[in-house]
Amino acid sequence: MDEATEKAPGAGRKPKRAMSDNLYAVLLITPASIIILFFALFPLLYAINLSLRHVDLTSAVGIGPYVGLENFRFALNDKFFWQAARRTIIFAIGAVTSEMVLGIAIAFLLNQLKWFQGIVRSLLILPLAAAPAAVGLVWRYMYHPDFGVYNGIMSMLGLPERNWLGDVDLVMPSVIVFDIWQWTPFVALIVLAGLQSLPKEPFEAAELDGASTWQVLRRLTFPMLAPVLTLVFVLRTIDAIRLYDAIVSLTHGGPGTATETLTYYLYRLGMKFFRLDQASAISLLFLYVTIIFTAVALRSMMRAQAERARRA
Amino acid sequence: MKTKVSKLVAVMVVLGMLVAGLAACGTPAPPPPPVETLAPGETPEPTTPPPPPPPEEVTITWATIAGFYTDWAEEVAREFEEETGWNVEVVDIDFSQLYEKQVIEMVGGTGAYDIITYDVGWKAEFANSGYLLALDDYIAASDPEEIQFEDIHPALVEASCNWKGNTWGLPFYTFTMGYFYRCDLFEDPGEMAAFEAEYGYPLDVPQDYEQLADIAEFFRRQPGDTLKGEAVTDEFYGIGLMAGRFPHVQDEMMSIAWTYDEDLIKDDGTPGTTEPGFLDAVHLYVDELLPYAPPGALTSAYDEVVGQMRQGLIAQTAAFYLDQWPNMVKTEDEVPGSEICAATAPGAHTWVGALTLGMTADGKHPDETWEFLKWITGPEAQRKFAEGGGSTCRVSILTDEEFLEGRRLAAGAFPALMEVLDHASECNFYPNYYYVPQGGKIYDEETAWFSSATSGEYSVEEAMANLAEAIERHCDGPCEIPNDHLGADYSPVPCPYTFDKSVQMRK
Repeated sequence: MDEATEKAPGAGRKPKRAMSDNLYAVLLITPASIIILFFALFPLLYAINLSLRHVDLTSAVGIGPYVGLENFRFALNDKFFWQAARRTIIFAIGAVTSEMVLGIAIAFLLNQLKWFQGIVRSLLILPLAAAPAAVGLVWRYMYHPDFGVYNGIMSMLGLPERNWLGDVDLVMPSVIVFDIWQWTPFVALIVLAGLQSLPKEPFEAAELDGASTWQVLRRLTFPMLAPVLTLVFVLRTIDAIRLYDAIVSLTHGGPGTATETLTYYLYRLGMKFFRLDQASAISLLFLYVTIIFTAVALRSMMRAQAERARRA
Repeated sequence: MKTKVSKLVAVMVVLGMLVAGLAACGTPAPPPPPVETLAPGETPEPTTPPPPPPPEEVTITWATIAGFYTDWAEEVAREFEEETGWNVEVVDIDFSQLYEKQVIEMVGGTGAYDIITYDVGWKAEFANSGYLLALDDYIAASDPEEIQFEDIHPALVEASCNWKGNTWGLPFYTFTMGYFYRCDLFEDPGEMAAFEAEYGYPLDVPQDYEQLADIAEFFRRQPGDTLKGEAVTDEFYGIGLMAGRFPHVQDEMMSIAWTYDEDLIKDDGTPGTTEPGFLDAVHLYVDELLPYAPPGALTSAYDEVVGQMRQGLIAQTAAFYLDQWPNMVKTEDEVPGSEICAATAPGAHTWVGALTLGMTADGKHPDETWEFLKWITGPEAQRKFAEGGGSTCRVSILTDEEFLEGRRLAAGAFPALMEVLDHASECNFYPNYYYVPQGGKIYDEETAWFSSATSGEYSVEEAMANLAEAIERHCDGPCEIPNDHLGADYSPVPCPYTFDKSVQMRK
């Protein structure tokens, strides 16, 4: 066969333009983007619109005229908003700190387990699998001062019985304990996964070099776990500041307003008083703070990831 | 080219499946009529006119409170369906969300509910906002025998139905408040003697809240003390209170404030919560009743108080919902030797009201809805409701001696209920709050601030100042109180009251 007749496959046709990686990526994420656009971006834009207007759905005003930043001024001058914000921060610090410490400890313990690790991991998921509202109701009865199981245990141990959800000084710690019970397994499981994915070689080298357990933890384990710990910390914090289910089922924001967190306050403003203007303004301020916090918290992790990618 | 063809085929397959799916879901078209051919000379038969189209299917959607006689509601709905051929869908909503779930639909004009259930405090708001249809024309056009409107107690009509001279709903379930107590304790000779020796007057149904506080203090017993001559092994408390952050705390509190001639909203529309008399009322609750209630009072709603009575933990309630009688009286099965009695709360100035049914302005079938509304609130359905222990609003049933005979467990509180209702009518006792269009929002604020006072989160003065501020904020200044229909010379009549125990239905 001569060269004239032996042609390469496709020779003589126009060269096909392969789809670029960028276009392919865009096409792949388009369905999810449409959903996010519809369920997240549109409501966000609508909330921004409402936050700039006078909106009182149960009055003749309805969705009223634009009032500029009046609702934001209201929010920043509203003492109940700041009180709710303070309670939310207190809850988040108490719950997330405890969950991180306990979760990391449990993860390390689980990592050492030679038998039944799978069963224990499965049991740990149970609090996460239960509906928060239903579990909250059960805990409300467990906390009951007259016939709750916790006071029964206190009584058996000869300790004074407490009004766990009725005492303004004890109610927030009681809600934090509930949250710790429910979400520590989440932290433990994520950290355990992180631990089990760490490369073995650095640890073997450290062992050969005679490093102590504390040195290994400080110089190897925690630095390598940092991205996982940062991520789980951020996720738990975002979840904690959005606390709502537990408040509704355990305390209804009480006693008084002692557990009225920002989300519960928002719910009252928007769904009881139908002041969607004020509720939208507060929720946008809330969103802004959350974004700033997330950006700051994840900045170091993102920088490290970028550095690793650059080196690779 | 191959790729383009593949894509085209794929699109056609998907479109084809969609069309097939739609076709499968749709109703099939009727077959064409057969074509008849005539023989020569045969004349065609006259054709009959086509049948009328089937009537539109009617579904009436009723939003009601969950957990309260839902079986009766379903039964009544089914009977109505059999009678009329119309469908009734009963939507149960927990009371904690009943307000907002209904308001969202009515604000949006969705027509999701044809009948809604409203509380006394929401009446003015719903009527003022145009959510409800006024029923006056419907009532006037209906057979009086069918509705028997005058059979509904006038106090409930005024409190729950009337606003600005129109009628906006028909009540079906009254939660008017009275008082429950352990009459076996109150009538124990030893306890009676000890009480009179300590307080200087006989132990009996309290006629004012100071007496209620004395009784609460008296019956507080520690393990080792005696009760009815026998040693108690557990704590026993003088009173059960609904002091948690639930809407019931304000019902208890306001019952005290009203006996002090105070009101949440004064006649000039300004808040009354910082008046000295109002503060005294709240202080009585916090300082003289709460110390003698179980610790669980601070997280209690009405069901916890019923539970406390049935566990033999408390001697009495404060102002309490008389509709809970069928639950309360079960104490007699659970606490040996006990007897529960119902009475009016001290002074009888308590919440008078009912869960009331209104027709939504955006309902799809108003005429049919009216028929169902008449059905559920009518004499027959209400009698069945009462037979099952429901707290009816109809005087003929509440006072029917024959009906009450042998029905103490279901209807034992009816005599006390009639006392409270009659007292409200005779005394023109209709608080300003019943008419304020911001009532629904103020109701939620009351819960938060009264609970703040009971829990000690704020002092009584601070909590009531916060409540006053909240009322002014919601009303945007003094509240409007459209109660002109009561007449220019309307005013509450001073009505000293003493409960007559002879009306009680005893064991």
